[in-house]
Amino acid sequence: MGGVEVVVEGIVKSFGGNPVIRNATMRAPAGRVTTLLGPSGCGKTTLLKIIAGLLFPDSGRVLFNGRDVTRVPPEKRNIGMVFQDLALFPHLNVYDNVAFGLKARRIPENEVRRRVFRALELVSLNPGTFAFRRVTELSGGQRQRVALARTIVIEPEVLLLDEPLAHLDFKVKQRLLREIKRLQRGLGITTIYVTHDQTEAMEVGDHIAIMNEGKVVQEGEPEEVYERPADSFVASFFGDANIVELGAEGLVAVRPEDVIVNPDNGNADYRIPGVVEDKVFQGALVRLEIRVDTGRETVIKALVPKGSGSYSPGQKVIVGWKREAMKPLRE
Amino acid sequence: MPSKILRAYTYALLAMIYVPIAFMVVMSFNDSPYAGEWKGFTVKWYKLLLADSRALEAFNNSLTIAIASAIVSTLIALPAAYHTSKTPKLGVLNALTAPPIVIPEITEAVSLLVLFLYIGFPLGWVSVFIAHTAFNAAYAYVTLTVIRGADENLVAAARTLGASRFYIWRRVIIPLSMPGIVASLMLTFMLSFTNFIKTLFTKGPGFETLPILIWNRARRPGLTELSSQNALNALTTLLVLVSISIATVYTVIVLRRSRTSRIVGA
Repeated sequence: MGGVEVVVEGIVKSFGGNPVIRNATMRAPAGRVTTLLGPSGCGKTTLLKIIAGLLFPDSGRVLFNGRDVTRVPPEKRNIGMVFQDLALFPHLNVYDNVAFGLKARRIPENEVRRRVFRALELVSLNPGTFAFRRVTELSGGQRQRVALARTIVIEPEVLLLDEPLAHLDFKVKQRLLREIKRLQRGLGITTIYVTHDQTEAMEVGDHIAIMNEGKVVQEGEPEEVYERPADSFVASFFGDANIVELGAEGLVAVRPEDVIVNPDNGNADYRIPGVVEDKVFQGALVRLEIRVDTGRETVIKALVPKGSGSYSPGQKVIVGWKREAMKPLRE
Repeated sequence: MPSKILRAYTYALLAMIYVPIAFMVVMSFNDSPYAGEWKGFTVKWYKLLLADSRALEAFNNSLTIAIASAIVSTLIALPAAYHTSKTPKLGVLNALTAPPIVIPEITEAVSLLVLFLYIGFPLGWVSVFIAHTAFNAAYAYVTLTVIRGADENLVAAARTLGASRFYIWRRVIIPLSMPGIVASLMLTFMLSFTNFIKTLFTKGPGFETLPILIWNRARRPGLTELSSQNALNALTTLLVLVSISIATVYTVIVLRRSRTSRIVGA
């Protein structure tokens, strides 16, 4: 338990003159899950490969508990990585896939066997049923578990997961997400989880770092980032937001759930008249899109509880919000 | 019924390809020296071949050149193919490997002969071997790159699992490239074993491979019992037998390989 704190400082990386990481500084607290969230192409997989040692940065440092590992190759870093396409060895069965890292370390056969079986049990694969199956015979979720077992069996200090659940259906994804979290808590491994999916990021991350265009633009606890987004990108990428330009206040974000439709007197500090343009039923909530003629955005998104009044497209309404709902953004 | 017509057409096409070969195989068991008249079943042409030292020597030349050329051309192509598998875009380099396959064989044959004569290289086993290997390397390269071995992520995964370079070559790259290596060996063996034109131009006087021997005897049919039609049919049947068995194994390996790699992709 405890684990290793990972710190990334001022990483810059270009491929053929094309900058992929412009300036990445972030921290992954020891023993916790840090999610690295960003749209595709923002450089998050490249940053993860730099943390793994599969790529070396042009400048900047990678520190494991203060120790500079920037130029240490992956085989000497004691990390574990689950790849986006899993990268299971197609010519080996489940057992040999999981045993790979142990055999590479010349660990005696009986200990290999014990540890492989325990790792399979940890990821809820019955060794008796699965150990000697070909990986090509497994379902997507089962392959995912093998990839995870292969990684944790070597007892890495840092676990790196590159969109590990990207190709699974919703239900399998939900179950595996919970299991990864349970497994990580049990083992206490510092984990960096890369994803482009904000719900996944919120669900799994104790700490979150948001990347855009090669930079880490904000990091912190998920709630903190949600409540105080640094800029308009974070506000609209991590959760949904209305970005509004108000004279005295400057640029602010207002979460759709903080928008009040037809507020009573004294219930809202800001009021704008508008017209309902679209209405989408989302179960417990109804999402309204209201066209207004002030502000930077001309459509305000609002989430209202399903029973809170009937709105229909074309209807004239007032949208409003309280002063404390406005989150000031840096431009 | 277009589908029925198409099926009949396909059968006709296959018949066009296989009837002459089947005729030749059947006639190699004909007790008459002439292919046209059936005189009953015999294996005498094959017995005759076993005692025919010239045929045995030609067979031996064909076999040794084909084996050597297959191994050397595959070894030559391997580093280039590995480079390609690590580099996604190689337009020009890839384009350069196609000409050896599409250039008319007679052109290659003449150019090789001119080159050998120009540098004064003695013609014989070695010159034929060089000629075969030069064009086989292109086929070996194409085979090795088409049948992808270990992709880069597998190597990266092995590294994060703590494996050394040597361990990765031994446990990942070579086992996964094996189907490509075997396929390349078989394809280049077959191309060399059955080659005629390049061999004819680069062999020099007196040196014979199996296809050359068949041609030499077919030019003067019936001159001796060994060059009778059905003796030639027996000789050619052996050639076909070797090629078909190699081609079958090759097809099985390629099919199995492409099937598994399709399943593995997540």
